[in-house]
Amino acid sequence: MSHYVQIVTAIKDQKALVRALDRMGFGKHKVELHDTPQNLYGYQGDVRSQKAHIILRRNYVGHASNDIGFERVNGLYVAHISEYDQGCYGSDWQKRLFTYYGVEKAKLELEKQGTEYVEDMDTEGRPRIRISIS
Amino acid sequence: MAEIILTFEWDGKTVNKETKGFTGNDCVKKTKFLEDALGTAGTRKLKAEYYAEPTNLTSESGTERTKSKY
Repeated sequence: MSHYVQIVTAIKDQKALVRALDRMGFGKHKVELHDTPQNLYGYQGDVRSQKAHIILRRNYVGHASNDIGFERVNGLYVAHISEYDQGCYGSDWQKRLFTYYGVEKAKLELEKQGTEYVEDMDTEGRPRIRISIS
Repeated sequence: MAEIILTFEWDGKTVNKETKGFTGNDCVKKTKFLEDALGTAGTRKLKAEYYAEPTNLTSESGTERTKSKY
């Protein structure tokens, strides 16, 4: 009748990642989407070695920042964030982003099925989704 | 009323899924799509009631009712 299970999230859905970026302050107008990976540029306009399918251009990232990108590799998105930008967009920022990815991915799946849900926070301040099935 | 609760850890990778009030293994069947969509599910910890089979009992008044074995 009931069970618990822990799921390890895999970042593979473009739409959910874009929705998560929106929650982190990068609305759709700040996000470039590409079918084939495009060059990332540095703060001086130099072409960097990485390419990405989802790109936040440096003018939206911050003063003296480089482009941030998410490249799809073997079906999973990998973040390209320069060492300089790790200051503002380091581990904590990425954990928050990927947590929101999970929330948005679950919501997308529920919306596809027309299932209603309630999103809130639990007593420990973690995002939570509750679904009642009659 | 059955319920699914997803709780998202701030580590960016762990989602805890809990189900309540499902019948038999419906809790697995009806919620596996979420596990598949999110990533890779770890070991499933079944609650005691998962193993419960509904048993029909007849009361003295003859009214049929359902009760868990446990």
